[in-house]
Amino acid sequence: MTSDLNIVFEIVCLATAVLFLRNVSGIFTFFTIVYLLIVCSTEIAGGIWTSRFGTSNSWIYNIFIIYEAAYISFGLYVALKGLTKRAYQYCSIAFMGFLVTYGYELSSQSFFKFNSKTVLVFSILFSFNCFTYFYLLIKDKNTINLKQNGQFWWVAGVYAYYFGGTIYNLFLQQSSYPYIILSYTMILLNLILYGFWSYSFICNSRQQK
Amino acid sequence: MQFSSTEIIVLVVIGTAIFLLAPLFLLINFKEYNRRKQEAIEEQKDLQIKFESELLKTQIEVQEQTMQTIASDLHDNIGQLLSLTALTLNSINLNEPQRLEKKVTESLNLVNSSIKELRGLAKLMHGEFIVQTGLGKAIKQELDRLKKLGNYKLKVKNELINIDISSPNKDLIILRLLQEIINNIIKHSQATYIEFNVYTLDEKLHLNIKDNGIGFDIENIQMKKSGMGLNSMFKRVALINGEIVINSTPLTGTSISIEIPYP
Repeated sequence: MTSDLNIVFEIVCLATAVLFLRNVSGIFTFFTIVYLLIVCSTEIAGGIWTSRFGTSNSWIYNIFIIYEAAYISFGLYVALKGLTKRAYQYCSIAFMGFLVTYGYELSSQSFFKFNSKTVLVFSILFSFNCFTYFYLLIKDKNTINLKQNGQFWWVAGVYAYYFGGTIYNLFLQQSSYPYIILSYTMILLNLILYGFWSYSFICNSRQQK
Repeated sequence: MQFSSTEIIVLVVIGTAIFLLAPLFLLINFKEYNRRKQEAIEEQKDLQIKFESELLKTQIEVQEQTMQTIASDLHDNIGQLLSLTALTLNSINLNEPQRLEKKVTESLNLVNSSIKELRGLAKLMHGEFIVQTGLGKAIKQELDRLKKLGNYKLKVKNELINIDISSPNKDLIILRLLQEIINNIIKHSQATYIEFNVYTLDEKLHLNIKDNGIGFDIENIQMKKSGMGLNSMFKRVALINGEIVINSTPLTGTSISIEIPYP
């Protein structure tokens, strides 16, 4: 049931993106739609794998987090580059941190076991970059129109998802974790993330008008 | 330390709630901060528009006053001189050759005086042009004009001539203030000695003028609010964030100190 709800949020977000971003040009818009397609495909593939074979689908998510880290790093780079000259460094460090932890986990455990340490590390790094974005936005002498600034809501979603998921990621490190409550936590986090992103697509569409 | 499953659930729920509250708190604060910043920017824009509008209004007032001065000069001085010239020329009787030369010379003197007055007016009208060459030089020209009248003993200290700074919005207002003060001295003070001291110090322009005229009752003049009076001078100085101090003692003289942030 929990997996079904997550798929619903993701599909709604994808539909919102396709509907509202169809007239918004740019490489990030293209990556967003492609990424959301990957998200939905991964979620459906993971569900099918578990129901058909009855074994862990972690390897699917281990592949997925590469796309996730790349997309979020790029999105944060796009958001930060208008505010600081060090945007490339900030986002490179986060992505390098991901690659190092990912490599370490691949070499230290089976590929079929979920790379939870990698997720914890990039969550912290992404939260830091989001925080930097808000700090620079506050320091900036210009104001933004929140109703038309999709980028702000996109970063807000990322920040709430990764920072809010800290407890989730910490418990995921345990060998035996409370599965049900963590599933509900993930539903809440997904609702927040895709809710914010959907609103950001609507804002982008308003900005275009 | 072992936790029961209930304790773990409570821990996850409370922990996640706390970690979600932080972004929520940040977003609310950012929204509020952004709103205040927007209000501050709009307030600043309003003030700028108000300032520009006041400045424009003052410039129009100054132009209006200049036109009045020109009209008054044309009527009272040049008009009178030319009327007198016409009268003199009309009174020439060709049958009286011994008085002819005298009358022609008188007419010529009157025409020369008219030309002199016209030049003075032309300079007054070209204040904007004069300011473009620098406020120091514009003040010098104004004081030279006063010197040429020959009615006053002047002591001038103008440190602005060699300074290469300007403030286009303020320069014309400062020059018009000086012209207004000089005109008032000429018309009302009956002074014989005038001191001018112009200099910049700590990013402020100081303009001090002192005469030995008959002085006046400041409060009484301010109450009248007539024409381009003291109130207008106070208003113009305040518009460019300056300060003006006038001290006047009847039968002793007047001193005016103006201090304006500059450039």
